[in-house]
Amino acid sequence: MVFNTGAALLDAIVLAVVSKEEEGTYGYKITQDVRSVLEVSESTLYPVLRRLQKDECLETYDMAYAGRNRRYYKITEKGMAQLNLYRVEWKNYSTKITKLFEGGIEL
Amino acid sequence: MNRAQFMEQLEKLLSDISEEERQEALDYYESYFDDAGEDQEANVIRELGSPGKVAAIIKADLRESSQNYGEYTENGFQDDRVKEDMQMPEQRGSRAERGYHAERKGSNAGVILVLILLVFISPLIKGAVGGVLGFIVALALLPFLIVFGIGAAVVGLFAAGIAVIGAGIGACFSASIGFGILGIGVGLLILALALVGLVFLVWAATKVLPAILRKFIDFCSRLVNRGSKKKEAGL
Repeated sequence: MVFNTGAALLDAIVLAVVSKEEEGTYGYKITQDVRSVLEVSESTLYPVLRRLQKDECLETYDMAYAGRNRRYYKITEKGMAQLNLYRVEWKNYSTKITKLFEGGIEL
Repeated sequence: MNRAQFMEQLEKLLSDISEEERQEALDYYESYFDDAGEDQEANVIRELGSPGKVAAIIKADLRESSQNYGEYTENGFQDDRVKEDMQMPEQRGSRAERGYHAERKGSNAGVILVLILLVFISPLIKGAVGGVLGFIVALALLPFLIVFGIGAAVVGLFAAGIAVIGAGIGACFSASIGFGILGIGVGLLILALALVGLVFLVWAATKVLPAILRKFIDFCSRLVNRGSKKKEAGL
């Protein structure tokens, strides 16, 4: 992709992906979901998940799956609030850029 | 490289971070391989890149985790880690620097012009008006007070020199010729002193004052720049 994805945008995308799963979702699936909309290296997502977990935007729980423990990530209330903030910010940001690109803005 | 080798290398490379962080990361990637399935193993390894890259990204994030992430930034997330587009803020900085240099030269030239004009005009502004004007200007431009003082002295000396010469010439006719010539001589000496003062004044106005001014402007722009840099950092 031509445009860089900033740390905050990546946080927002991961929060959005995780929030879609009521029961929580796991690392591999999150990575695949994010990569379905965004070209991002698989190795960049672990630190994002870890950081969001430390910031208490995501919580984790382990559940047995196919004879092993699988770690699930679930969005917290704080994470929801953060995601809503990102949504508003993104709307403002993208609207302005779109207007500018399409010539609807007077500088 | 297979999964076992990948994980082994990753563990080694993460040996310098805390036990908790290392175990967390290793668990994550073990799970990641499990969930991807054996048939995807080679793909996952290729996609993840080398264990060195994975470890570097984990460590970079741990180092930066104390920093604030909650804001929009134009710096790419991936590029941040690989430190490619770190040049962007620098470029912005040097452009600002260039602009500020140009500005500095412009205002310097303007001030020098005004000072030179004042030096040339000052003999024309006479007596009290010149004195009052000079006083106000000197108060407004405190660092220039001394130079203006010298300027006033030069004007005074010029006036005094011409007056004494005039008086001397007058004395040649009205009083004794010797006394008159003495007067002219003293007047010429005063004029010479005024010329020396004028030379010093021009030197001060073109060399010393601009230097002081440059320091002052540097100081001001550093104050302003610090403010705008804070704003940039906040972006």
